[in-house]
Amino acid sequence: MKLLVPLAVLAACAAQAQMLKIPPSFDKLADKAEEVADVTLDANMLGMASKFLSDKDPDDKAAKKVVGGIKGVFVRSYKFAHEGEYSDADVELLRVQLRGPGWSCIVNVRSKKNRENAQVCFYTENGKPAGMAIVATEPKELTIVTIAGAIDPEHLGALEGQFGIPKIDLDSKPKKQDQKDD
Amino acid sequence: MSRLEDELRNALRREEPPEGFAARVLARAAATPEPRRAGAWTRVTRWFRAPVFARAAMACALCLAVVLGVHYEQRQQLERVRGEAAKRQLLLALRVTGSSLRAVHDKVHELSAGYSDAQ
Amino acid sequence: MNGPALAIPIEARRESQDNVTAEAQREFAALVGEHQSMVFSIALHYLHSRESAEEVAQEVFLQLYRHEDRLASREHVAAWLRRVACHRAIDYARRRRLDPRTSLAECPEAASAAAPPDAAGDDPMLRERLRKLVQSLPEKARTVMILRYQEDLDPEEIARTLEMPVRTVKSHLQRSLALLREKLSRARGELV
Repeated sequence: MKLLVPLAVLAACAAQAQMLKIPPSFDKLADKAEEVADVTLDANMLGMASKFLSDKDPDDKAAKKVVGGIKGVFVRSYKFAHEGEYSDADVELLRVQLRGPGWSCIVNVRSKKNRENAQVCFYTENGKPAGMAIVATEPKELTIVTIAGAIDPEHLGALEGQFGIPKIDLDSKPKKQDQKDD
Repeated sequence: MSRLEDELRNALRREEPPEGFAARVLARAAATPEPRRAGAWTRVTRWFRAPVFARAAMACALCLAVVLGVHYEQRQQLERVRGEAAKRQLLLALRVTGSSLRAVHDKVHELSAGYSDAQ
Repeated sequence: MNGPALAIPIEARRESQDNVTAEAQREFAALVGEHQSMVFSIALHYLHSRESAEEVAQEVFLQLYRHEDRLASREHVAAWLRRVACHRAIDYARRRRLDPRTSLAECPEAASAAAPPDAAGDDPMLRERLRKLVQSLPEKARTVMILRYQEDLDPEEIARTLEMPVRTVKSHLQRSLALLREKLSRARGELV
């Protein structure tokens, strides 16, 4: 295995995993955040990770299914102690990209009351699925997920059943809520 | 060390699990269908149960392996460490993705329910 | 390894496999005995339920059983068990919705007229109160506190176990202690 990889190749691999152009101001968010999840995995690293996923472990098995057609994973998730640690204008720079060619956002949820906003978008190339992105914001939390490659929406459902996430029946009717969201 | 920290150590001291815990775990493990790999001692002693000529051949191979294997082991170890780290990162990424999707889904349901009520 | 294995008669091979299985089970049993208290206690202090803690602890050891051949050393096993126990407890709480996500500020104050400590100075009411307060902390803060005060890990070790920055660990410790101190001092006016 070659241990030295040209920087340009590394950068290109990371960029492919990333899919969205991240504003430079986001570099400083990790220092301000209480909790950070920071993952960039290109195709090479995903292949390496896959070798260590076991069929005997339910979490590993679920991950193996999802990883199948993926070329890259990029996650930045920040939890802050206080509001106002990230700029709405910078998040808008991400959202503008999701309105660009090839992207279609199938879920766009906004709550003015809680100041929450979330988008789930898919990217297609030549009519074929080529990636997805999630951008979710709350006053003290910012999450960006991009996955490059042929992600199967059915496998997304599998994500909800593993890693401690309750499985949700997408066809079930919503229960009546006692409290109103005004 | 503050008194509060002493009290926390006292409150959070280890406790023994209920009676029979180990037996229940071992019973469940024994019921696991996949064959277990051998323990380290058994893996090593297995070499000495083979016929003499095989032992001689193995000894030669072992010498060669010792000479060549150190470098290979180091590379394997490095690859293993990197692979396990990549796996942990992948599982973390999938956790975050799953959580985000769940949150979005909850929100959609919440808003749909509010809309149905309004109707 | 087909050469040597084929040279052994079938009966001897079967006996060899039985020995392998028995040896592996002895090793596993030894690990359970050595670490059961640690794993159970992490789950117990996270979930505040003996029943749930046993369920989680069993799952952790079964996961160890499936992965044991990949763990390099006994020290590695202990660190691995701590990490998996924390993750499993968090997952369990989320699945069962045992984590009410109430803020610490919403926890009721301890009654001022508490049972007096016993002759050795051990105060069971205070101990139980502290356990409940720890259990009401947010996920990450809770696991940090448990690893610090149950396992006596330093912030660097906690950071490695939970795969979070050291500064985040220290922040959780600081904030959690401050909150606990405030809750207790309102009730008793003693601990600092």
